[in-house]
Amino acid sequence: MAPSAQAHHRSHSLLLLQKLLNLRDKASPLTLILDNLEQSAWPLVTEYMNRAKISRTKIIFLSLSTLKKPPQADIFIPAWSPSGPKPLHALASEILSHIAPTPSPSTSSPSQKTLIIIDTLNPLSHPSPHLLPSFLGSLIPNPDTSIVATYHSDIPPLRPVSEYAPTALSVITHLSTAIFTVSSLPQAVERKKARDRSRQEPEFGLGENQEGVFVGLRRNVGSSELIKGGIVVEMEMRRKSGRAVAEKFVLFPSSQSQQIGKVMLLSDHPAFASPQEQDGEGDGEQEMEASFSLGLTEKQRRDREGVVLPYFDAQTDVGGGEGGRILYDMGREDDFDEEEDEI
Amino acid sequence: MSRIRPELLEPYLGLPSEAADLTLLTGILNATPNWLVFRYLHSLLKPSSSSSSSVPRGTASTQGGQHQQAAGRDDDDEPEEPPAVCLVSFLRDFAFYQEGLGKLGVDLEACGRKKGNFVFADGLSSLFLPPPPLPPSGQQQQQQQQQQQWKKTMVGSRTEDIRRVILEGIATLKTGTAAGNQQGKKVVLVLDGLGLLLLASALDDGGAGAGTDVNRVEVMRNLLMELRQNVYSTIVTLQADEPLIVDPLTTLETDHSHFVRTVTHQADTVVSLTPLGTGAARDVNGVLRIVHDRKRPEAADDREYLYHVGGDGGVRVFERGQ
Repeated sequence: MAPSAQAHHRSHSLLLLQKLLNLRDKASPLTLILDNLEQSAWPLVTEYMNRAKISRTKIIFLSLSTLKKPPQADIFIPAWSPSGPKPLHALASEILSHIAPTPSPSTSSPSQKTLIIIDTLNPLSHPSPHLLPSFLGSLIPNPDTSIVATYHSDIPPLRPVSEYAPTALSVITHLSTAIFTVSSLPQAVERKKARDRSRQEPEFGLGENQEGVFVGLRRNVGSSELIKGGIVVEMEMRRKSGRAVAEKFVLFPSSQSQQIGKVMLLSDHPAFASPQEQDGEGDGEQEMEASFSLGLTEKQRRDREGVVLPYFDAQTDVGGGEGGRILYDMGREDDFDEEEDEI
Repeated sequence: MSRIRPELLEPYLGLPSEAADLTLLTGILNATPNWLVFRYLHSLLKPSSSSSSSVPRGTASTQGGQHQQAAGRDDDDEPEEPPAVCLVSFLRDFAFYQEGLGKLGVDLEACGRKKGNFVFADGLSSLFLPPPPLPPSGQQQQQQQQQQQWKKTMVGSRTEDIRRVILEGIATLKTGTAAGNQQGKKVVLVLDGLGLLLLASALDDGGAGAGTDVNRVEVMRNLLMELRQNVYSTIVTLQADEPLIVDPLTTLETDHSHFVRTVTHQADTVVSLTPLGTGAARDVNGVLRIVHDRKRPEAADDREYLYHVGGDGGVRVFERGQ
C-alpha cells in the first residue's frame, strides 16, 4: 500500500474512534462493550467517563453490580433494593428523571449532553430479553443522550422464559450502533508470538482446561511499557448508511499523569507490526549479505562489454525465420560433399 | 516459615484497604478452601499475632510477595477497633470452625461472647426445617436470646428470613462498639458455601409476589449486593467444579455457572485452589492462584503458589521449584 494511503487509513480510523469515545456528533446512541473474565470493559468505560467529564457531559451511572459510585459519575442509580431487584420500568423512570428535557428549537443554547453508563446488561437480560429494546429505547428521549452498556459475553444466559425468543446478546448486538470487543493485550501478544512460530496458541482462563481455574494469570512486572495494562479493542461501527467499519485498536488507559488514554491502531503496535517494512520505492535492490564482494569494478565492467559471444553471427537474421543459422567450421579430416544435403 | 500464617499469603489476608471489597475463594472437591477460610478468620480476629497484619491489604500490591511493614501503616491509624466478623456458613456447623480455629489459637466462643466481634449464623442445622414452636414465656426467651446473641440460626429457606438473620448479625456487631467510639466497627462478612443456597433450593421469590417470574439467581444476586452494601468487605466461598462452571446443561448447572461468573466479574480478588495439573504428590496438595481485579489493569501481579496442608492443620505455601 502506498505510504499516503496507509497514513490516511490510520488517521481515518483513529479519528473514527475518537469521535466515538468523545461522543461527538451523536455518533453512536447505543454503544455495546463485550468483555469476559480475561479482560474487563471497565478501563474502556473509565475512558468514556474521563472524556465525558472533560467535555462536561452529564454522567448517569446505572449500577447493577458496582457498589461504590465511581468518582467521575454525577448520578449513581443502584438497581438493587431490599425488596428485590428493581423492575425495568422503575429504573427507566428513575433515569429519565435525571435527563434534562429536550430544549425547544427556538432556544439557541447548546443542549446538555448526557451519557448513561450501564455497568452490566446481563441481569436485565433475564427473564425477558425482548423487553430490552424498549427499555434501552426509552432511555434516549433526545438525540443528545448516549448509552454505553457492558455485556459479559462469558456468563451463560439463564434458561429463557420462551425458548423461541432470540437471546439477549443477539438482541442487543442487533440494536447497537457501535460494538467494542475487548481483550487483554499481554495475552494477545503471547498468542501472536506463538502464531509467528507456528506453535499452538496458549489458552488462558477457562481455556486452560484445568478444573478450578477460570481466570488466566496476568503478569505486569517485567513486561514492557508498551504492553503493560494495554487493552485490545475491536471496534465495529455501524454508520447510518448501514455500512459497518471494523478496526482493531490498542488502548492504554489513563494513568495519573495523563487524563486521556492513548490509542493506536493494532497494526501500528511494535509487537504486531509486520516484519517487512513497506517503504514503497527504494527497496527493490536489496544487496545480499555475503562475505565476498559481488560488485563489479570499472575495468571489469568494460571488459564485460567487450567480450564477443560465440555464435554471434548466428544471431543476425538471415530471413530463415528459424532463430539462427547453423555455422559449421570445417576441420582437417572433414569431408564436405556438395551433393550431400540435396533432397 | 509459619505454618499458621504463611508469609506468602500475608499480603492478601487481613482487612482490605478499600471498603466494599469482595474476595472470592473458590475450590473444588479435591481442593477445598477450608484452610484458607481459617486463615482469613484468624487474620481478622487475631490481628495482634504478627506486626505486618495491620498493614492494609491493598498497599503491598506492587511488590507481590513482600509485605511493606513500616511504609504501609497510615499515620492516622490510631488503635482503632479490631474488625468484626460475621461468619455465615451453609456447609458446616459451628463446632467445625471452633476446632479449626482452635488449632490456630483463636477462641471463637470468647470472641463471640466476651469481645463481641464475632457472630456466627448457622445455615446448616435448620435451613430447610420448619420453624420451631415459640417458647411459652417471654422472659426466658429474652434471656436465652441475650446469651446466644452472637450465635444465630437460620430457619426455613425463604430469602427474607435468611436476609433478616444475617442483617441482624451485622447490626449486633455494629452496635457492639464501645460507647463514645466515633468510628464504627468494620464488619467483614464471610459467606461460606454460598453456592449451596443457590443449588439446593428453589428459593422463594423473597416476597416479590407469586405472579412475578423472578429467578432464584436474580434473588441471590440482589441479596449479595444488599449484604455487601451493609458491611465493610465481604468474602465469599463458592465451588468451581467443572460441571458446575463450564458448559452447563441442566438448569441447576446454568444457574450456578451464571452466579459464579457474575460474582467473579464483581470480585476484586479471586483466589482459586486447584489440584496439581500433573497428578498427586506427597508434599504438594495443590495450586493456589491469586488473581486481582481486572478492572484496574495496573493492579498487582497475579500470583500462583503451591500449597500443602499438613495433618495438624498447618499449611505450607511456597513457590514452584522449591
